[in-house]
Amino acid sequence: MSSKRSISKKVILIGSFCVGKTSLISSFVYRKFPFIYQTTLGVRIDKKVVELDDLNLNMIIWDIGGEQNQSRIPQSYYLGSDGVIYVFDLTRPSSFFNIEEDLKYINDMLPGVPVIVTGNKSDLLDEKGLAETENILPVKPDIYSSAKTGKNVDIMFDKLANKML
Amino acid sequence: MSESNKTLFEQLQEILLNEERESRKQLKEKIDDVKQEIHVHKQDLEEFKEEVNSFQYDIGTFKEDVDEFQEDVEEFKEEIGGFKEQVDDFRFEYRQFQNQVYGYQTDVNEFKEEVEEFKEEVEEFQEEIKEFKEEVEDFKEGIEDPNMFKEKVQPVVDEKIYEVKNNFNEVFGEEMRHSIKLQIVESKEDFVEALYPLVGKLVKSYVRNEFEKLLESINGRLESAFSIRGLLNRVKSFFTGVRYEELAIRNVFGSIIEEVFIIHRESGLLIGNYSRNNTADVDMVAGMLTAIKQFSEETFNATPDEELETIEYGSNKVVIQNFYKYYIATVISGVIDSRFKSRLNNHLINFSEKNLSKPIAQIDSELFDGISKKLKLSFYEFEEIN
Repeated sequence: MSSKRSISKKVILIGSFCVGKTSLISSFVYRKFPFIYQTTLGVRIDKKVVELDDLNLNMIIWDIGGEQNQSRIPQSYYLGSDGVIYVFDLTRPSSFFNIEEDLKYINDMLPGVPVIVTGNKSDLLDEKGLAETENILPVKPDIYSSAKTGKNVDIMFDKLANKML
Repeated sequence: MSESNKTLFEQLQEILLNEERESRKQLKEKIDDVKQEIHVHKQDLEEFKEEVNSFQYDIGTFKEDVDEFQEDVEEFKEEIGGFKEQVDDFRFEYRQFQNQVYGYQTDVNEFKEEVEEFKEEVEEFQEEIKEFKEEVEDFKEGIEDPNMFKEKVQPVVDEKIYEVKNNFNEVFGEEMRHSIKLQIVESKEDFVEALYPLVGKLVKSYVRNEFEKLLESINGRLESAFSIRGLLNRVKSFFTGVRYEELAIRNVFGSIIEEVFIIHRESGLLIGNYSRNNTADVDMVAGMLTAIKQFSEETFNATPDEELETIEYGSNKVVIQNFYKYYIATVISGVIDSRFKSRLNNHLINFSEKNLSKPIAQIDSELFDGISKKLKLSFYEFEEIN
């Protein structure tokens, strides 16, 4: 592992409050789901080394405290980001009604930087519920994830890793 | 005139007349035949006409059928299009379903394994219960005879008393702490009243003790003024202009560079690091320092010239030297005077000019290892000089 060349990249997770950003990171980095909700104040930093074919990707993950509107987050937290994961809660419409506006804001702040949009908490919906939610989503997400079951969590980060290289 | 007397001319005339009659008769017959044929043809023509009319009617009907068929084909085409979309939707749903099934399968397998483990544990537990039951039976027998009971129990009780005496803190520490805590909370005022004079004495005693240590140390340094170190300090004081006493105190409470981080200003990614102790994950520390720096600068609406320069915690200080694309955070323990700070800043600027003047395209292990190696050598030199 150590003999491979490694590259460092900054990844930020953003989205409304209580959508599961911290839980997704916990599931990805520590393989644990925190059952007690603790709101993230400001920012939390974590790290995960993703092994790829010819190099190791040193992901420095910024878990940014959730805000209803992304423009309320300090702009400097966006600076120098190499990838973005935008998280919303599939069971809470207020968390995805601003997607289009938020994605435009992110694109203005970080032009050309890859963004993965994920609908989290998919474990709380059955097939019918998911189909109903899909019909009211303003933007089709890139992935449906569940931090609780770990479904698609690794796939989501791998997808972003490949897009960043 | 008799027959015989007929002239040739008359005979000829008669012949001709006969022939004419005959040919007229034949002609009439032929005309009748032709008329007959014409009549037949006329009938055929009428029939043909009728057939043509009937055929035209059939063609009309056929055309209508063809039009209807074309409409059917269009409808069928539309239906096929809709069906295709349905098939695509179904395929997508099927894939999702497959993923779910895969997830369930994994869960079920995990659950199965857990159940197996649980089964084994239950069997072990059953075995233990069985043994325990037997032990209880033996124990019961022992209890029923008072002498036997005393004989058995006395050494155990003695041993336990001895153990509790020796490990009182481990055994009852937590409960005692909890109970004391509770009592302190409930009767705070009584405790404060009782402890107040005692705490004052303790603090006084501690401060006096520390001052004595400091005095002893300084006296020791001053007494060794004529030692080689003392003489060196005097020479150093003469050339640098720093007071001898200050140098002596600096020897007692020297500044120690604990860690140096070179951090990309925007992303917070670590470009290089020198660490004396390797205590924490340096990448995460670099990110967190950047978040704190960015937060404080943005929250307090700092102008581009106003930047976070120092963070203090306990006896440590993080001194931040800002550059255009990166900043260098130096963690220092001990006493830091302005002279030391100035020397450190100069050292960092020199290092930056020598090693970080090229633009950084990508932060990778090659860059990090190279810069960190140079940083380490540079700070060995810095510490030797100081």
